[in-house]
Amino acid sequence: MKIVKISPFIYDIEREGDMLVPARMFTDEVLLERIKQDRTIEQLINITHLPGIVKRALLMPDGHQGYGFPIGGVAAFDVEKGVISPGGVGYDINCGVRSVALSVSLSEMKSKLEEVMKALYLRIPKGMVSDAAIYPVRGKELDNILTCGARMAVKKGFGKEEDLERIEDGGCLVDADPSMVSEEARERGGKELGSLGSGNHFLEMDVVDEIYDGDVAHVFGLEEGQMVLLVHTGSRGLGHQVCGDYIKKMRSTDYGITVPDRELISVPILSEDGKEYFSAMCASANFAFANRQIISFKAVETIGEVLKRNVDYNLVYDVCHNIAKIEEHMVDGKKMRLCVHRKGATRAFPPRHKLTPSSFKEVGQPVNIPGSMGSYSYICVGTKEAMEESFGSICHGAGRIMGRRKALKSFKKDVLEDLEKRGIVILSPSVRSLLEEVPGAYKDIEEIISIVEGANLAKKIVRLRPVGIVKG
Amino acid sequence: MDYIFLNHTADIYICVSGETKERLFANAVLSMYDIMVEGKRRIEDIRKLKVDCINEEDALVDMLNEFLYLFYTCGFVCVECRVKVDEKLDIEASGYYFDKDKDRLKMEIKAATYEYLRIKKDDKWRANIVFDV
Repeated sequence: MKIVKISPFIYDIEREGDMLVPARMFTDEVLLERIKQDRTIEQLINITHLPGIVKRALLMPDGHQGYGFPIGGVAAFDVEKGVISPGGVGYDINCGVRSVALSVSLSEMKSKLEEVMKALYLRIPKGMVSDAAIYPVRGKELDNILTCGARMAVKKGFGKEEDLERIEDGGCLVDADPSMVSEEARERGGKELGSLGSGNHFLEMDVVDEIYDGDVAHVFGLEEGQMVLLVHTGSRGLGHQVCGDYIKKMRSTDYGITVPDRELISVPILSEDGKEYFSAMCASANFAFANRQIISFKAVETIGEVLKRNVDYNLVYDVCHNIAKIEEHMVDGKKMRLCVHRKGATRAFPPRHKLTPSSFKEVGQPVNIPGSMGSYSYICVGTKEAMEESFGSICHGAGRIMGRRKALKSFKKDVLEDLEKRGIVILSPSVRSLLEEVPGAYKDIEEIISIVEGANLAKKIVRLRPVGIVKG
Repeated sequence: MDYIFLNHTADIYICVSGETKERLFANAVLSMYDIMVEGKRRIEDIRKLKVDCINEEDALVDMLNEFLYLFYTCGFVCVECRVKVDEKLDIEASGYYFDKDKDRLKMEIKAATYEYLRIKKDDKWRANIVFDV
């Protein structure tokens, strides 16, 4: 394997053996040494073997070992000749991050912060919810959520019509087909609509701490000292079951596709099997859009109840980071329809792109990049260069450097006490799940953002500082 | 418990073992529950499952995902497990139903994956399994 340094933030792996295309890593010298220590690079190279892949397989700076695709992996496949792979999307279909700007300043929030966070902790369902989700659905109602996503959530009273424009694809993937979602997935997930889950999922209260581009921040509706709510969750058990169902189904297909890793099992995009998975994946993504819509609406309502006034909000943006999308991109000067897999990577479209919402047409699409628990998060904006270099994609967060077990052994409660001393209110059902997510288990978000900016994939607009965290 | 943790940057990676192939399959189920749920309670129910076993590694993943489905839909926690391995896995699982007032979820497992999946025999039967968490 030959790794070639193209620039301080771009390293290429030259094509060799059965690789159909080369691979590119957006990283720096230090992080490159880290990702060499596990199977991240092997998993990235494995993607280049999949039929129909165009240009190159990509790894974002927060990339690390996953299963099938590495986390932070991006690959685009020619719709006519290429494949779709559930392992390139992941089990948590349309896991994503939503940022919501509140009509509350830090000075108002300060005195009530603990009360607000406790109320959020009690009102937003976490972990195994049984029948306690905010809006459990079944039957026709679940069909409507799977078909219409966040649109249906808004119709049911969870939010405002204008929220929808500020969700990737308007919060509704039109290729969704609820009949492609199994009874098992419906049963497993339907009752979880309006719940956070656990693991690295969270609800966070942040303050706009620094503004790097005032004009763009103004368009995003953000100003210094303003409170912002971040919600990180996905399609819950419904998406997990859909992914498992389709991997199992694809096992018995025979399209003559040889994969180097069984978790990369793939079928042609235009085959019946490919279309069915895509429709079920879109339905699961819609479930996730609705889930974040419901949670954020409930959270804003809860904050208003504690502050004893009507709290208004404006949705900054809601992005997916585990998804496959049919998009148009220029490849070697030719416009192509591609199926872009982003697994632990975020769409970051530039100004004047036809899919950039009209309110952001002149500035570009906002991209939410949360840091690790207790560290800064960023709202960035997509660039023209990202369209050319990374199919309009950037990182999705800080990215782990340490396994959960090792984090549990390496860190003690004092790490959490340090965060509390910094004035951050942290609430979770378990200390253990907090220790798994401490900042030391993740890469430094500052380094990730500097790589993204250094490679011209995005531009940072505002920095967010956490003041309250609810972990699932 | 007959499993050990192996290093993985993002997910949970274990090596589970058993004196026989049947015990290996049963121990894989018990290990998964040990990772997810804290403590054990008295047996309340016995569930019987059948899983196709054309390929043993596929059957292992399918069986674990069947138990995840049972856990997330009705809260079934398996504490004793017997598995017969033939053309189908014939599974008898004894356990109780998760009660959020009595039990604690340690970790939510999304799925058993095919990553690193391998069943092998040396002095014991062993399988490496990665769980997406």
